[in-house]
Amino acid sequence: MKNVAKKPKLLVSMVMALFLTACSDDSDLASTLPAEAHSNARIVASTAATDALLTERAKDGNWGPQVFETETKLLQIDDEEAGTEERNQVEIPKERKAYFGDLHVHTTYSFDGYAFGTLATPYDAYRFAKGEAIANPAGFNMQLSRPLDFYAVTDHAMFLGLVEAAADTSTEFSKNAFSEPYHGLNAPENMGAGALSIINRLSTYGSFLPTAVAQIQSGELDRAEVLGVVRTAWRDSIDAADQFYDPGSFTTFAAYEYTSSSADRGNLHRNVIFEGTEKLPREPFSRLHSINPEDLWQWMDDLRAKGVESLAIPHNSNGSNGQMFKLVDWAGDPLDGKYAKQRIRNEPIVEITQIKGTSETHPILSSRDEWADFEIMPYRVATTALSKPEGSYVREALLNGLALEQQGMTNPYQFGFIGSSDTHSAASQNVESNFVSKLGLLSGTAEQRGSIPVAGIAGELSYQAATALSKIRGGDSLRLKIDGDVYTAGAVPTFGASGVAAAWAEENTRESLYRSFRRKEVFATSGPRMQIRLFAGYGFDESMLTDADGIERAYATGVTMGGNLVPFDTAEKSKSVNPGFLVMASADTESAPLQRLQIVKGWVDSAGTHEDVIDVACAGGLVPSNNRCPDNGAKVDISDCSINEATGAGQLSALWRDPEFNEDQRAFYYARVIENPTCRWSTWDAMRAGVEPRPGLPTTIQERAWSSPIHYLP
Amino acid sequence: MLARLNKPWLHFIVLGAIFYQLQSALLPESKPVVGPLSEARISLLKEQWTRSTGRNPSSEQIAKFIAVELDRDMLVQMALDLDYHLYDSIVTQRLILNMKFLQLAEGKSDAELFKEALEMQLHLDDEVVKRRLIQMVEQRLLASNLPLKPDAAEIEAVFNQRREVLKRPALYSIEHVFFPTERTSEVAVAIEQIKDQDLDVKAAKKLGSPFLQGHHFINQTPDQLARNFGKIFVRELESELNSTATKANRPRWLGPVPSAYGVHYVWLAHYTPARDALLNEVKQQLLQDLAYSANKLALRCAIVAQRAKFDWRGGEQEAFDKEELCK
Repeated sequence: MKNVAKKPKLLVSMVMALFLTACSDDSDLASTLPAEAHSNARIVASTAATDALLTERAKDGNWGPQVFETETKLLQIDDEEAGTEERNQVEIPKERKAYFGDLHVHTTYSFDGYAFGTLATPYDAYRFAKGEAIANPAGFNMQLSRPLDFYAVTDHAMFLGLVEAAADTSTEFSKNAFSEPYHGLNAPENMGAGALSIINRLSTYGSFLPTAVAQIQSGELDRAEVLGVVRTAWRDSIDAADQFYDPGSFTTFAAYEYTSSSADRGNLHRNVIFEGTEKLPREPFSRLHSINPEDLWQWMDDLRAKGVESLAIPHNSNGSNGQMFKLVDWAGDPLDGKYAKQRIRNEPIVEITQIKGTSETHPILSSRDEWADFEIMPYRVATTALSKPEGSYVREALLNGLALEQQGMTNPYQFGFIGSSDTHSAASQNVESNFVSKLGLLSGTAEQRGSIPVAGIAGELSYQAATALSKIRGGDSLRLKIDGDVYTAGAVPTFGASGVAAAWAEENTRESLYRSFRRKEVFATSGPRMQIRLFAGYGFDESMLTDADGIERAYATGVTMGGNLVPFDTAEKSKSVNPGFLVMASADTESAPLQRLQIVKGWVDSAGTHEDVIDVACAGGLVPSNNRCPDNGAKVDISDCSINEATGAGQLSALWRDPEFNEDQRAFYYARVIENPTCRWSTWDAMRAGVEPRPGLPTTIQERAWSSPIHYLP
Repeated sequence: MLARLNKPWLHFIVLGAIFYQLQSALLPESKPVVGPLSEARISLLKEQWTRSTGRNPSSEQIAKFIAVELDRDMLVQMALDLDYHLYDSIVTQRLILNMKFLQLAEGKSDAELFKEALEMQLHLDDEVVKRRLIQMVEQRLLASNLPLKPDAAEIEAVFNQRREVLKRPALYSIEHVFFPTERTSEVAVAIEQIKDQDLDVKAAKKLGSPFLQGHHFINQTPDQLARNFGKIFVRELESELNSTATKANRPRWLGPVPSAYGVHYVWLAHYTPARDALLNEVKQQLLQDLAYSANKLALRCAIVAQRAKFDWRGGEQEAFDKEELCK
């Protein structure tokens, strides 16, 4: 790396970058599973120290400066270009099909993606989604076994395309002094995975934003020039989406990520997805316009008034330290109707699972849910400080939403669920056996991902160096030792090979898919392409499970996922008062069979909010007893990751009635289908390397899918 | 007359001219030298190759990347001859920063630092400067060797060449009667009933169970069908289709066809066999590909053409000679 030593603030940046990714410890942490991190004294103490630092930093009030003025000017799109997609006249079937995609993808235009060595453009991202192979920065190819149906490139809006423009010495922007340290960052000779290269990349990642903001504020970096780069990259991202949009076959969306956070580094990120590309803003609204998500919603509302329809999808609430679903607004005042209406208008769905963990619920919040400990990433995003579970998980937010509604307010948390990957190398990562995480050059090997030991003298040396560095700066170490073996520490080993967004839509077009997002007829999976359906209605009966027109009738007489069930119309005395829930799931033919199908119920009464998990269908036709399926005998051999495929079901379905149903009680119901266990990605890595799976990480995983909830509104 | 020719100054001029011509013919002016690469540079190139590909380079690959590296050296020399390093802001900034890093900047203006950096020849050993200079020469070479836009014949030629890759897959429009695993014993009777009573699709579907993925699939490729039914289904469906007596594209029942979920009796409403793409369908894609390749080739050939102006050392001639496309 030629220019690494020439960075003026290298040491400071290194320390900061290491701090971002490091995690301390040794033996006492070795056996701590991610979901148990909150009860580990060392992690708790380290988090307290971080909080103290962040509180101190927040006092100067400069942790989220406004750099740009908000504007809603629209992009000037040539008439010839607008809406030029040729729509073949295709017959549209009435029934809705499941389409699978990824609404969270970063490319070379994201500042961190570029720092991770990503050279793949939005065009490459779409090629990948359609089935072509593209290169990982670490030198190997990535390719899907099956193409996806839809894809949205969501690069960070803040300084969109800026690092790429700074590094590419053929651009005008690269000629200013700010750009110099980034010249040739991803040139072939700088694409090594050695320690120096990695440190430089971390340093770039850590120092880019503060440097850019400081230089714009001081006038060293021309504000208009920066906006020019951002707008050019935004326009290119839109062009890529339009070029690859193939109605009926492959759908793309103009989209980007709004990357805000709270003073305590609580994650407040959202992906903004636009319905079409005929009318779009000329620049994306970023944290440099405002770190307050309420301002984002106002901007979206203002654009909507100009005919620009969009929605925002929060993600990684798990890493928000309780900020994503808190019960006060940005100013700290209790939520009110205006806030709630604006939020749910703009954020009808949330990303419940992705590489940086699953946000459905946490064992601390759902102690009676044996499946709550699923791909828990316990830290605040891009730190190793613990994230407070309360206010950070989706199920709890649904419950709080019920309580707010009970008080007469609009429910701000009545959302549907999707999954997505958040890949930073343009390529979705959601297959356990083929997972290379999201960090490009920083996660290209199993050692970097922390799933196998860093072998030999290199491991020992890196351990000693990391330990020494952590002592100098007083923080956590990048390496830890378990049973004498040196492993990568930090959050990366807790990352998961997840997830996928799925939508029930009439056809694979922007219009049809976007409508399904809006009506919340969407579901999330942790990777496999399972399908799940959920309906509720009063006229439902068992025949709907066996009659070919069962689904048709459910649509006609009930509500589907994402919908609202209202009290039974007493005029129709012939129908049962207790609603039926028709729930069906099918396995992914390229993954493991299904083990159980569940209903997750939440409700509110005078004592507060409650939740319950009920098994409603079990593999092998077993009858649920005590709301739990018996063990179906599914096994995984972690020495070769084989499974006994004969155990389990291809499809599960049930017509379930809630025995505790109270027609006066506000409630939500969502379905969750769980596969037989399979090897987790870290076990696959270990098996391929011929070593034991790393202690402290789950060896197996039960992949799953979540339907969006149906709300009962008395 | 002879007396006039018998002048020493004239002899001097004539002999001088003769010697000059002889020298030019026998001892041509030496060309600038390119190469050879040092062992250290070759090792570094090998290391980079191994790191990015995960395997050791073959001797042919080594020869190739030595040739590429020598080309780069040549382009840098051209840039220096053209004084590009003196007038480019990126080069200037880079050299000033290098001087600051070397702690040689105190009390000096940027202009002084730049001048000193050039005197110290820092520009000859900086990868960023080198890449920038190469980039500028490449832009110049390309600008003076712009390829022609592909004509209809070229488009057609590449279209014919890539016919297999561009092929459009078969399309199926189907409806189906579904029998889950626990109802497979009913399949034969149901099919019998459908045939005997000549049931239409709507009526036939009532004999089966709901299929979560849906009952009606229009214009689906085999891959798309596989995503909803599994690969076994597609394989069996194709086999059924090929084994039916008539290949005519008329609606008909096929099956029973097994899938990952049970058994399906399939109503094939329409079938479009795999076909070659039409030129109009792929013309835009081909144009983009051709333009990209043409630019790349034009630049490559422009670089190759420059080689004659240099004295090459250390590269295997074979590696250069392989660039047949430019001949």
